[in-house]
Amino acid sequence: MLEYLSQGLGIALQWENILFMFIGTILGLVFASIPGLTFSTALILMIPVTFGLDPVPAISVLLGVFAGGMSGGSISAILLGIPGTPSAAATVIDGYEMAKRGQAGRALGMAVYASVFGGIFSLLVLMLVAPQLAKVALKFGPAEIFALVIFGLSTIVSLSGTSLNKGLLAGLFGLLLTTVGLDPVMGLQRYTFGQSWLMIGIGIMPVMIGMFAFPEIIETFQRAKNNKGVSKEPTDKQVVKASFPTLKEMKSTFLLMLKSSAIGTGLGAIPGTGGPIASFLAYDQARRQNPRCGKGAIEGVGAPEAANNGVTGGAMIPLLTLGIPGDSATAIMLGAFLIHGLAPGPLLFQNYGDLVYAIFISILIIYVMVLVIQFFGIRLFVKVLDFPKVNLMIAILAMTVVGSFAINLNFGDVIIMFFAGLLGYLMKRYGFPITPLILALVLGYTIEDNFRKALVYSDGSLAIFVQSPVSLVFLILALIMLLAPLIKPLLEKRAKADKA
Amino acid sequence: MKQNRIIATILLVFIIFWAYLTTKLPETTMLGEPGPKFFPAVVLALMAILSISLYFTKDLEKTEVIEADEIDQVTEPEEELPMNGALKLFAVFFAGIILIYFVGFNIGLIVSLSAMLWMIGWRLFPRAILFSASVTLVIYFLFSWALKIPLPKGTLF
Repeated sequence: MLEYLSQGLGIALQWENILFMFIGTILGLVFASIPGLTFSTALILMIPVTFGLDPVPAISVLLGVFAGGMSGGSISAILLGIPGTPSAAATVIDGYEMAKRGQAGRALGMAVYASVFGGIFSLLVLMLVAPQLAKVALKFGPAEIFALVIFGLSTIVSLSGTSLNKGLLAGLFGLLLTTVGLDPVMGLQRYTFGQSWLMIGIGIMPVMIGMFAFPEIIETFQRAKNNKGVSKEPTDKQVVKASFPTLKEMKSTFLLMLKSSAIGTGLGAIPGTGGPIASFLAYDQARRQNPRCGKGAIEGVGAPEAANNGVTGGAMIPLLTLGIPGDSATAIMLGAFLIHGLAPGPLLFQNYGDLVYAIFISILIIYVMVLVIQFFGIRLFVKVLDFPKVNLMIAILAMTVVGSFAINLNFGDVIIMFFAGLLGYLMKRYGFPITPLILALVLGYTIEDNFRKALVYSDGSLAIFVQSPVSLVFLILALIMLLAPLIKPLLEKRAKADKA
Repeated sequence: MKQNRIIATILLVFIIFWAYLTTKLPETTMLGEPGPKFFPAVVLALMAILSISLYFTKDLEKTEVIEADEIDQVTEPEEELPMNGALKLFAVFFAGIILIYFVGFNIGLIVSLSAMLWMIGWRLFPRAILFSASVTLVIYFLFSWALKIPLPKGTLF
């Protein structure tokens, strides 16, 4: 480990990597601080830029966007009362109250401190847990991998939003898309309609680019056309300066920060949960500690920010060790890893240990950057809130073409990106969540490949999936996840009847 | 219920078509291996069940959607934008993609971005062209020149 750590340090500290971390962090902070833009869009925007880079600077820039994006959501949450990202929704409650009382600087300072605290805490957990988990995962065969990925996919249930039916349909459609191209076992063509460019299948990245970017672009354009005020957000022009928490504040919130960071890291490690849930759970902890939460308490800002930044390291655990993304941002990251020839999973630790540790150290450097940039550059981000979104969307629209084409230098991918964008727009409009489709598209090939390989090993006997304890546990967990929405109302009904 | 019924019907038609394609796939030649048909067939069967269920599901009112999503409650619900306008923007961009295919990235993108800007209200056409050209130029220099990543070339010239 120490050998990898020193090699990783050498790689991460190269000036080129530091520069790209800085660019990524700035971009993540900017995108997250503008309400209506997501850092997933910033990730999509940066992917084509990474094509010309080596794997480490490429991943560094995306990590910068990820961590910066998670942290930057608090800026508009505090100054405007509008969360820059869903993860910053809980920060609005006390942060905006503090800003209204003229304490915006104090709230922003606490948000920065808590973000860095949560981020570094989750990084330490990631460094301790991930290599051990990777060692265990190396022993997995096709049956265990199949069960594990099915469990990862079952998180579609929690990503389905208001309609489980539509979420499942979106996920199944994603699985169906993975069957286009060459069959994983026999190498036969499926659903290619005689088109050679479809033989490699429907690429994950063109679909992601289209689905995440287009609904936002089209909505922004339509609002601009209707003059609904996209370009001008009502920012308060008060002079804002972040003030770092005092030693007394740091001492009094230390345990709460630890608890919130642990909540964030723990939930981040479970696919399908993510920042919003973690920040609300941590906010609940803050409310228990300080009953003034809700009226502008510093604990109400610190707890959710520590939690949602704790998610970053937590989400990296299943992504790096098992190759399972937990949300849209980590799915995009997975796509980027694959493009650069780094397949996340236990073998990544075995074959590219130095790069994995370089990633760990990069996350640490990025959080230091988050601290410095947000603390000293807060006035710049206040100005960013007034930036015309239409201009940014025009640039993103152009980048969608470049991004989808440059992956394989194949114009067919641009066409796929366009239709994925149209589908994404229609899905969003009619209440179908996009993330389950993306998650299924990412995991579908692995599911089919390992299911069929396991059956070849067992001469067609399905018993192979329940004979292995690991496989059995993951399948039971997946079943619980899938049945939970059906069982929960029944249990609630029974509890109500018992009370009556 | 009407909206769900329309979507479910479209999905069922698609599933039947895809199932027909699936029947044309060859059988497996390996012992114990379910073959290339199995996985898509299972997915299609599950999709068919869920589509039928969607057909009989009541449409969720907008207010119900907002109430159900606690996390999004902090932000104000936004009014729905007309579908027609969105489809027109998609059509113009698709025309732009076709143009890029024939005349290449630089010219195609300038024309398509200018058209989109004009559609969203930039009535001063030279301004729209200037802005589109600037975006294209920045992308060209960043990718073709700095990062050495090729951009789409036209099939005509």
